[in-house]
Amino acid sequence: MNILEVKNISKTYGKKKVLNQISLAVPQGKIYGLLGPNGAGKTTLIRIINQIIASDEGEVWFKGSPMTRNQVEKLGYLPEERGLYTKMKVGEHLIYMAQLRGIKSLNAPKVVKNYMREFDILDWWNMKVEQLSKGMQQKLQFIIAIMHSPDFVILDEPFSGFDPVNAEFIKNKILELKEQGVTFMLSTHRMDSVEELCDHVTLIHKANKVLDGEKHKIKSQFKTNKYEIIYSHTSRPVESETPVFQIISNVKNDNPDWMTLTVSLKPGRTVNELLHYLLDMTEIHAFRELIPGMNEIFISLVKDVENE
Amino acid sequence: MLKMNKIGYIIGREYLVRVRKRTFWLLTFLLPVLYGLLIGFSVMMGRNPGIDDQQVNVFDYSGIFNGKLKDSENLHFLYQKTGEEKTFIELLKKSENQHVLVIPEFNIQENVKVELYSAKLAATFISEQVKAEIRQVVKDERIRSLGLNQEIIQSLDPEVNVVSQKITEAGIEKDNSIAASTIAGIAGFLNYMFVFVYGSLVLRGIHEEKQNRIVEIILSTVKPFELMMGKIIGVALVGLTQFMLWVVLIAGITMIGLPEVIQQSNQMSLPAEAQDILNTLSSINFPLVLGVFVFFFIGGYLLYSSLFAAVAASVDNQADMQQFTVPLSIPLIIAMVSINAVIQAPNSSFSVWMSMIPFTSPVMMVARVPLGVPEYQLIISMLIMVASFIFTTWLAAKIYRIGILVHGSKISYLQLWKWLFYK
Repeated sequence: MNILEVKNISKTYGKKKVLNQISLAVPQGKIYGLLGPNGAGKTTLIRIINQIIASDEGEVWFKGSPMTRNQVEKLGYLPEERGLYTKMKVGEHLIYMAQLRGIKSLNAPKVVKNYMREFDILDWWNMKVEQLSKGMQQKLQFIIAIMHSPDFVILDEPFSGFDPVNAEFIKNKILELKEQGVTFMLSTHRMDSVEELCDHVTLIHKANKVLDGEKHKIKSQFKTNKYEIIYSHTSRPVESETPVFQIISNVKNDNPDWMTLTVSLKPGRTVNELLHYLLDMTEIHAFRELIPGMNEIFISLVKDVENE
Repeated sequence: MLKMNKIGYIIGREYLVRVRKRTFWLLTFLLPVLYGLLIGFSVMMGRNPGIDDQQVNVFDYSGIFNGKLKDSENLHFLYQKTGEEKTFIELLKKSENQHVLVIPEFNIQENVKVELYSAKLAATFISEQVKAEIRQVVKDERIRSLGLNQEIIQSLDPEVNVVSQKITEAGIEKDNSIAASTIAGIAGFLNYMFVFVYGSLVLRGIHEEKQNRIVEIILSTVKPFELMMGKIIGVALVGLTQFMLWVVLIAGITMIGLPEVIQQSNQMSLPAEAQDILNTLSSINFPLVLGVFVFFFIGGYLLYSSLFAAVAASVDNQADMQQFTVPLSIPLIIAMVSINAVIQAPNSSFSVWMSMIPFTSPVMMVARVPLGVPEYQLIISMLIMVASFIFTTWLAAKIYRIGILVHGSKISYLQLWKWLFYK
């Protein structure tokens, strides 16, 4: 089931088309990656989903019907442009945000305390926000995004500015919440986090959707039938042209006794045939398929669009 | 549909954040304290006008004056044995508060010439008083020498009081021009200050939210209009709180201090005009003045602060802000500098127009009311005010909702105009 559906959204600022007939469907309980270079329209799309701005055309559906204002207010949202009231005390600030997110005033302090305990920051309660480091402030912003227990959370560049320790901490929190059934939409251009976290990916570029699908399917779609083999350096060199494969490179490994061979399979040939062929010739230490990373797919697609 | 509970939370935050600041309380107490000091000072001055007691040693060769020159609070007459004035004049050199008055023998029907010796030239009030006292005694002597009764003479001296009257459609009113003008000037100026000070608080608050980027987090849960109104109302309540505290504190100080001042001014019988002011103050319709003041404070504040809000939301840095805030402030400044003109001629067409235009009426109408304004003008001005701030808040909200999320570009008037039509 799709928790969120974006249907034919278009948005124009003046003469500039920022979003052009964008449609996407976010499956429940998954982490959905919204990718795109700067200025692609990601943030505009997210603001439209959040009803911060209105679209010119199209609709946003949530749980099977057009999204209502009350539903929007129950979303979790960590914007890319994020800040805090620097003069407020941490506890007070979180309580205020909890109230705006619809947590009853009486309940708010308890909820906030629980989260602060969970994030191990309860002793910040009386500190002013301006006394916190940037990383500490980001922890607060993340808490603000999730403290009202939303079932759909939008994170716009959640890891920007985090040190590796905090980034790991937040990553684990996201995975933990996903286990509990929370759906995430993750807008980013950090491909390592996409690789690690996302189940589903959409790429927007220059107002248009250029790619959409499950991550593993996209990756196999961009497969190039290339393989990397590490084998023992023998007196008998690997032939440059065989009926099964074509050599792309054959270079010395870090281990002086080994070689690293990169080949591409000839059409109609299987991996087993490749292995058989090599096993007859030498001793194999490692074998893997060269699957393109999301980063490469991203860059090649963006380039394709720009060349058009 | 507006979510009132959320606006409530926003109002609460905006209010508490400001009211908890030390500067708020400092300013709130500073004004009444200054006022209190002023009252206290004038009471002190009344008790001791800063002049030491002066002693006038009288050497009366005419024999008419013995015991008849009247002492005043600071001036005492002491009658000395004639012939010793030389020694006294020697002693005078050492004391500034001692004087010698030598009155020669003279014919009661002729002009009198006396000599007053002092270490320094005697203060005017001393010579004036000496002159007045001598004249009174000589006059009394002349009356007696004519064989007339003192009381008959006094009854011939009429007391004349000129009471200015103002003719209005409703009939004749007591004129209270000095007091009323003062109130008018103060009220107009105060409202100018209020609108400016609290309008700037809104300006700064929104600018801060835009700068530190918290606004988008908030806007995902409240509408831009709700956030803007929450801030405007929150700050307005801070202003009203401060105003109410001022009214209470100043009224308190006045009740303690003013009777003393009035009593003293009665004793001194000197500032007849001041007494007039004190008396005529009671004839001003204070509930009306206060009501109109609060109404135009709220109206003018809503008008200006909503426009300030739109500006603060649209521009990125302080320098760009001035490009918009300066033209916005000009009408208010014009109103402020024209207060005097309006007080001089509260019913001139200039005054009437200035008190109708919503950009100047918060100052002008407030200044005119203590001087008397036709009811229909007041009502029209109030209606224009209400219509105007509804319009400006609507307009501001349209600009605000787009501007608050725009970063990094210099904003022109044309751009603001375009934003009005964005969906």
